[in-house]
Amino acid sequence: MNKDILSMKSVTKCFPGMKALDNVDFSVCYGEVHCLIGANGAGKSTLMKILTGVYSRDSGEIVFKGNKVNFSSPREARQNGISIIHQELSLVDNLSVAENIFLGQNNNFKTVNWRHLYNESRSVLQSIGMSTIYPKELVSNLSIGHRQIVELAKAVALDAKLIVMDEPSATLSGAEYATLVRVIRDLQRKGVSIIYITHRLNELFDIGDKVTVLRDGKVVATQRLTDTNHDELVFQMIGKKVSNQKVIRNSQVDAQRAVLEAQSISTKVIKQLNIKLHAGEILGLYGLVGSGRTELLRVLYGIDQPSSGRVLLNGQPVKLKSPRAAIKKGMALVPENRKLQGVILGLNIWMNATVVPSRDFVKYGFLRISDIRKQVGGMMKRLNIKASSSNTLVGNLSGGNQQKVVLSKWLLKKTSIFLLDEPTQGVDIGAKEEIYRLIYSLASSGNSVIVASSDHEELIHLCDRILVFYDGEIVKEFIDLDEASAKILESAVVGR
Amino acid sequence: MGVGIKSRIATLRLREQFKKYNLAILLIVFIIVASSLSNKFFTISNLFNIIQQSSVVGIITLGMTYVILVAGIDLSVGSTAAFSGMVSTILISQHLPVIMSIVVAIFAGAIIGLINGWFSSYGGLPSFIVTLATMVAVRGATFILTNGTPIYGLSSGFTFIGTGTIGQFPISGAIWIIITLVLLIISKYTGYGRNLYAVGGNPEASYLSGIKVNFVVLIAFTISGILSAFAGILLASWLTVGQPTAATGVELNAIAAVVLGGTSLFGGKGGILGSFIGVLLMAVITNIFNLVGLGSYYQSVFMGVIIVGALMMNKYLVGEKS
Ligand SMILES: Nc1ncnc2c1ncn2[C@@H]1O[C@H](COP(=O)(O)OP(=O)(O)OP(=O)(O)O)[C@@H](O)[C@H]1O
Ligand SMILES: [Mg+2]
Repeated sequence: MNKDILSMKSVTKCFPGMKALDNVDFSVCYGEVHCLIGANGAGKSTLMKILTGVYSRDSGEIVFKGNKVNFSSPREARQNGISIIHQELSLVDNLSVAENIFLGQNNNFKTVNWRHLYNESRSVLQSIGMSTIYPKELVSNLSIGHRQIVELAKAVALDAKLIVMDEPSATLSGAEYATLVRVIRDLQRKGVSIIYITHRLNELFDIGDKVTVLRDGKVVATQRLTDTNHDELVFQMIGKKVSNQKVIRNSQVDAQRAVLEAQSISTKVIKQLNIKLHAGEILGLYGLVGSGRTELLRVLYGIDQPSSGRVLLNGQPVKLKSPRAAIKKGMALVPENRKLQGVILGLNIWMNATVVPSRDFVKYGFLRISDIRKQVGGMMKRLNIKASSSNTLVGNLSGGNQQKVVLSKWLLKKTSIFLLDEPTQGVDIGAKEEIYRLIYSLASSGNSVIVASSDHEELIHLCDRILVFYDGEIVKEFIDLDEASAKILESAVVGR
Repeated sequence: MGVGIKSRIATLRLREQFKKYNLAILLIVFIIVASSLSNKFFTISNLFNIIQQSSVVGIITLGMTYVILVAGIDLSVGSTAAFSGMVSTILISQHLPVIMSIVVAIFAGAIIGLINGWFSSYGGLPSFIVTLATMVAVRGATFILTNGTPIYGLSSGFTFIGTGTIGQFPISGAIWIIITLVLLIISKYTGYGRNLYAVGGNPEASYLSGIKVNFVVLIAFTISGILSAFAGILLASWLTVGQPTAATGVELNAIAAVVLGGTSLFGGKGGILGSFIGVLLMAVITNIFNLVGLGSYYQSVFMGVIIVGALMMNKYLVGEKS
């Protein structure tokens, strides 16, 4: 009778002032890829943290491989064969890739065999087809997508029987996603079960066997993926029909006015790049992880200085020495790594949303707190940030809701050039549409936006023009977006 | 089931509230203990005495709080206090006006703070090492000033600040409370105060959001220097003597009070009010020791035990794994 490797029964979990999980039943068969979906704050990550001993549950029981279990720490869960890739990556920055892959497997009282460590890591990386990542490289030098791959390697190296993947694809582009799918297939063939969390619903149909939908901490449905479809899942997730018509936009690009221009910019990563951003334009940047998208944004925003080339703002050459200087010129950056670069976890929502120094929020040197809270409250409603009030600590929000806080910080600041690196990572479907709508309205009121994304559909949906990056260069420009949808993936991989 | 969940949420809420006020509760507990141990505790003179004695370390702790909020540490506060105490008393013994002597001495403290702050921010060095260096260097400079001899015979205009009272309330205590309020308001209601928390909580995100991270750190250390200097002057005025050995080891008391007050050594969490109560808590404990006549060697041992005990108890009561 027992085909289930895992079964969680009536799991309930409360946080101060809220109920995150309400009598959740969830089970996974041997060798199954079981997807878990739900809006931001539905309780997906919480359920997985309870499974792996990060949080304790208030009630309910967990049966793993036929035994009742109660893991009191992630270490214990791991020793029993459950590994997890957390939504917020949990690598140690100052250690090498190899050390991270085998983190927690060292014996405190034995010496480290470095040669063995590097060899093992190399073979793990090879087995998942990512031998381009060098085991001795420091993790702090890796892009976020490669970090994600290292997390994957870490889970694979553990020889786990059940692997939880909490939004592993949020920052992966087409080719790396293909790697991920291949690895999952391999694991599945070996009888490993996988719990897969994502907001990109199309992925479910690629890899999933079953899907469970959570809404407000309750299970709405568990079904085979062959028995359902995209629209039905959306309905189950948010409890209402979303109109299938996409937001319409009439773009008003002023091709005569280049507001931001980069002329033969080079750094260690990018080579002689030329780009032009026009007034009212939404420009997309697509490319594999490490292809130079983020690097370009960093230069434009004054974080890194180019070794050659120059940047022009409204036709005038400028030298931006710091983000502060860029902000003064009306620029904004939503960084790729929200936890490290975007949010301040220990501060509440309104403080995070108004962290950018601004005259609007100060009067006679004092913060206009009630006014700030009113504005932030409006933004929270608009983006549907799930929290009891703007006093909630950002560290207590779900990942997607944290991303929305990062966005609201710049929407409240009212700047004119927006550089958005993976702006919708981890954001659920409903809020994504709202963010698109906001980006549209920014553009149609004359602002300009650059969106770097690993989700090509997002770019095609959103942008007026898309540039494809390959190995530090721009290899293709798509003005015709129909052409883009047919060719963009290939172009990013082959570099033509 | 529904009732169970409701009550569970209610207990969690209560625990949150407790987390907020636990330190004040702890202080009340110790006050009750103190008053049951000795009927001298609740006399006006004893209570005002506690405030008088805490004001020097109290003021130093306030500056230390800002520094720790930006994830720094200032080990030089004791040396700075001694140096400025000496500078002010030397100038006064040379018959300079009191106000001017104080201003010069505070200025000296500000310079030390600026040096600490510059090297710990723009200079990119760990503040632990920077302030360790200034701690020894400034202490040495303090001895050089008078070749190690103390300065006596200070004017009554000067000693009044440290020894005087309004009604029965000590002036130094009043100054401590006023500075506390000012720093509290700055930290809660101004852009600079908010930046303190932002920089301490996540310097990279703060930098990317356009906050002048180094400047915020620089100012925090400068404030600490100024307040240490002022505390040193107050101490000299209270003891009516300028001593190069003054305020030795006070940095440890200040750090302990900050941590006891709930401010995280990693920065970005905690605040002025906690530190104020933390200082009072330590003062009440010392007072209990004195009232029951505990020898000073034992006092040190018990103080250490109580600090760790209080922090552990706190963690146990509020920090249950979520
Ligand atoms: N440590 C915590 N303290 C208080 N509340 C928390 C904590 N962790 C999570 N929550 C709350 O629990 C709810 C569920 O969060 P969870 O992270 O499980 O959502 P999620 O489904 O993973 O969302 P997302 O898609 O955004 O990642 C959220 O409303 C969140 O604010
Ligand atoms: Mg999550």
